[in-house]
Amino acid sequence: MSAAPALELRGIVKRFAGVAAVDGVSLSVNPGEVLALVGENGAGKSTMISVACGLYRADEGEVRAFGAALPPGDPRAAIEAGVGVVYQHFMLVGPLTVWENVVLGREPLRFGIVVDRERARREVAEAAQRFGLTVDVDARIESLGVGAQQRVEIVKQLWRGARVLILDEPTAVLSPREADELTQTVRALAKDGRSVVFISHKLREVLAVADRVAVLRRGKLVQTVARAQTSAQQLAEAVMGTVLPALAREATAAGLLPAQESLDLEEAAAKTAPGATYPAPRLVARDLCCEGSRGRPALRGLSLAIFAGEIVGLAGVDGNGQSELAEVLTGLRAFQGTLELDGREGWARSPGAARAAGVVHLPEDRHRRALCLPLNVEENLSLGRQGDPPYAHGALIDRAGRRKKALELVHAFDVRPPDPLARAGSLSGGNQQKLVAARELAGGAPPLLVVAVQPTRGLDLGAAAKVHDALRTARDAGAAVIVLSLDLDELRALASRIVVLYDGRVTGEAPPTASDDALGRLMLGQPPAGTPMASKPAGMQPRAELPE
Amino acid sequence: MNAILDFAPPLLLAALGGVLSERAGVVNIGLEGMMRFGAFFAAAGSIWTGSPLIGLLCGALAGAAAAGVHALLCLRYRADQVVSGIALNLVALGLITFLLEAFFGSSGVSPPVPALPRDRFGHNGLVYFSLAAPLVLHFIFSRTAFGLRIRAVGEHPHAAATLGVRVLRLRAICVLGSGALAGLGGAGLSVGILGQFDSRMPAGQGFMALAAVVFGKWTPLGAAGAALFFAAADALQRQLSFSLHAADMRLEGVFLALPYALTLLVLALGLGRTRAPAADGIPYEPEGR
Repeated sequence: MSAAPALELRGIVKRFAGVAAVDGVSLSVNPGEVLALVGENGAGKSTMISVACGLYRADEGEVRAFGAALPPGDPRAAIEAGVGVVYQHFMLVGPLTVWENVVLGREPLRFGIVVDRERARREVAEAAQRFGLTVDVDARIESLGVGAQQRVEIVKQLWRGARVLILDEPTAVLSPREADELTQTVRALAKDGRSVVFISHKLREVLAVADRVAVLRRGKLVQTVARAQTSAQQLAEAVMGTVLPALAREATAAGLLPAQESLDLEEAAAKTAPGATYPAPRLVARDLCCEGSRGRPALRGLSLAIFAGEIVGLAGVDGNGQSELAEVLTGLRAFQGTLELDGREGWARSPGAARAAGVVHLPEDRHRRALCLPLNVEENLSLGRQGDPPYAHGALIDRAGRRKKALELVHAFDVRPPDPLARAGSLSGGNQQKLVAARELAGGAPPLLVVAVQPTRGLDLGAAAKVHDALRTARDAGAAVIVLSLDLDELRALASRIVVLYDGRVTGEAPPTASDDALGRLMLGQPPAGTPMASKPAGMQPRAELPE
Repeated sequence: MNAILDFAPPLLLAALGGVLSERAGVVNIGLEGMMRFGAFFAAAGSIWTGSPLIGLLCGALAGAAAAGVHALLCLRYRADQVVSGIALNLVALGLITFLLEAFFGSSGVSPPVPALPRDRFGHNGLVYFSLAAPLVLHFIFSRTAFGLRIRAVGEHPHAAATLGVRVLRLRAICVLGSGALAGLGGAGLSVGILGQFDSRMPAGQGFMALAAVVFGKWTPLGAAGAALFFAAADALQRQLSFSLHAADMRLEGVFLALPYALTLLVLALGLGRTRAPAADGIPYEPEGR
């Protein structure tokens, strides 16, 4: 093997409208090495990837693969040179099948124009098998779950002969078990002599998978260190620049850093022991049933009680009714069963009614549900309450009142830039989520029930900490808070108890100190550890991939 | 039946043009205008050269040239595809009317054109071509690499781009092909059916072709079936209006509206549950997200 790095970026500068998103970064990854790239949102990670794979043309600097310079702005050349990217938002064509997606652009042909289906299917299946990636080559992409789609993306790159694989935030959408499987896949690829660039916010994962870690901050490379010579604490400082003590503890608790001590968590849990001071539950759900998006039953008799002043985490493998439960609670989905808020029924019949009753929602997909991206910050802040003071005065918008309230919220939640006239779509993901949190949690009367779905998905450390703080503040003000997340560490950091869903029902409840293994069993619908049928964790594997 | 086959080619070819363009992700409201260009230049070409076949070629080229403008505006300058298409229709209306006056000194019809040769069943070659075209297009879409790429580009151009597919080039080819098909369809009206160019051509057939695209779920065979169905309704309407005579002429409007009304009904009832290609009508921005 030659001494040349598998992929090398030299002095890359990329500007957008005069602003440097990446400013003079040099990076390299050797064959058989896993390089992790960490940094906050907007630190320039995505831009680096786009430059590396030829999607963007760098303003300065060059990209070399295995010693040879790549022509800038030519994705085809990057692919030919063996550089493959798995994007955070998958680049898959939904109505096409798995094999069609894999071979697209490099189709094996017969007679020069006709796609050789049999050969394509066979080769795709072989590529998948070689690295133990299970995929059904004939399935349509849109019928697959997120984990399977990601495997297709990896197979796609491997089939194309990628020797350098760039994974952009690969675990952001995965359940803990899928994330573990991915880690194994990545290590297997490295063992095979391939290089992997692994981009993540989650320092714990990074430390588990990487040989070296490169830290980007504001478009500049802060440091590159070997895995053995760094710690989560040190990395976090590098990522954020400076670390406030409280923020670091928060980050640790959120699993963004490995926990050194769990004392804080236990303390927090003790402080908000359920039921102690709140006699009647705020929210009571009895035998909730509802249908999912394709008419399949999604909730099958779910029962739940949540008290004011507590944060309850809802865990479960994606697709076990969490999304539907959040929609039922916020009036977005029809249901059967009893749903009481402070003893009253009927509030969840429509989104408007739920809002009027004091239910607020931090939805899973903030672009689709929470924000109107072309509108500005203050307009977005007033949505949902646009007809009420201080946002309106009778039938007219109260511009002065709205501006005053918007400035107040923007500063309280540290939305950057703190400009009420900035377009919501121009904010980074973290600031968009802060905007949503500001509107939902503090835009009007204090909420009675907060439903937060994946509230920090894709956010950087600082923004995630802000959102968590906001949820805690809402709890301290007396709201009942439900957090649905695929990230167990996030639930541990926030919740005083974790309720586990499986197949549309509650299978159990655990304290936040419960182990991954114990929670994992509940998430797979199995009884807690110690019972005879739970032999070893590997036995759960076949069930990990649940139908969507 | 014969009447259906005779009247089908223009609609069928234009509908296939619509399918080709929209599957690649470019909405083509301009089919009507492209047909008009095709109809006129096919007639003009036949008259000048004396050969109806060269006339058809002129028609296809004129349609493609009009489509070239659409492609340039939509792909290069990322203009709104609907607006560009409507503009094209309006330009076709005015420009062709002017050219008819300028070339042939008439505001109504062109001189008669040499007719296409007919076989012993009384059909011209365009009929057979238009019946084979959907099968060919279907094969291209389902079996060739070119077709796979078209489908990918119409659904998720960024995904295709990351795999090295040249999105804009592919879309341009499809739009030009779409224009050629629509132009040929227009040629079928003037050279194929009427034997002269009429200033009212194509009289809404381009829009009917669009309806056929939707009705046919954006597939070549579906759109062809829909186009044949419309052609049948059209033929029926002609038969009926012949037999109705002057007293019942008021009813003619009802029959004219029949195909459209049926389309609306079918769409409203959800019988053809349809989904447009995901990226249909959305300009592709290479460095966008």
